[in-house]
Amino acid sequence: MSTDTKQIIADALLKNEQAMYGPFFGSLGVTSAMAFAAAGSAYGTAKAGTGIASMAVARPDLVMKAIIPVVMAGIVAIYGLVVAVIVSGKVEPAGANYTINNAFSQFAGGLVCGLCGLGAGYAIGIAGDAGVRALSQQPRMFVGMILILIFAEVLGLYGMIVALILGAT
Amino acid sequence: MTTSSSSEPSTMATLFPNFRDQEVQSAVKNLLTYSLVILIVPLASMFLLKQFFFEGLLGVSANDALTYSAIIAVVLVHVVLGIWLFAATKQEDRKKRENKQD
Repeated sequence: MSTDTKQIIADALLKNEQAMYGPFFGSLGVTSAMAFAAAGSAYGTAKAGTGIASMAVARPDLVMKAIIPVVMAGIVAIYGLVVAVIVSGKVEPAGANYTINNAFSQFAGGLVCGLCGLGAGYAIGIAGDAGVRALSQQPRMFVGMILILIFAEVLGLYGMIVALILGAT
Repeated sequence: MTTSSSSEPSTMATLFPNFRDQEVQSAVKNLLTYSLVILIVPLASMFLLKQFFFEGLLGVSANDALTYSAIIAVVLVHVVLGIWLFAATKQEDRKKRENKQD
């Protein structure tokens, strides 16, 4: 193989490594982190909200406790927001310090945070709905409900940690 | 404690039927305060810490500053959530004690 051919292959490799579609995947990571986390949070808020609405008819004094599933669903959206803001600060035009490796790991980070948030939001919604309904009849259910909600919310936190590790590389 | 002497109910009275009730008033105030705090604290701490603490005082690069302030914001949100839980349980305990004294 002549040095000319080698040079051509090396150039082609470099060009593919710094492909111009790199920022597309980075931006897609930003979008998926925010959009999926917001979707999960919205479902959790709506599902827990119906439960709060029906239990508050009988026990309006418990509303401070009953609103906690909604707050936790909101925190899941904050995870998505944090990852989206961090990743969006690192998306740049393709070049020597922004290769497709960076872009794909940002895409993966956004996706893992978003989908973990989606799952956590679903879990918070369903467990919160049942929890606040039970709370109106048995106030001692509060600690149990909080524990279930914390375990559901930690799933979103795991996603955020992995996303931060992926996005930081 | 029927202070609504006027014939037409005010907007506050239609929103909260027993608004003059001490318990309802404190509950609404608590809820409003905590809701505002948990909305504002993470966003404000994230951007203010990045701007003034990490970049201004410590001179960290923009990307690192954003990561650090994001982690602190998430920790702060959980602190506020913990305070919320504490307040919710304390409220219930106080109510129980008052009922026992009666």
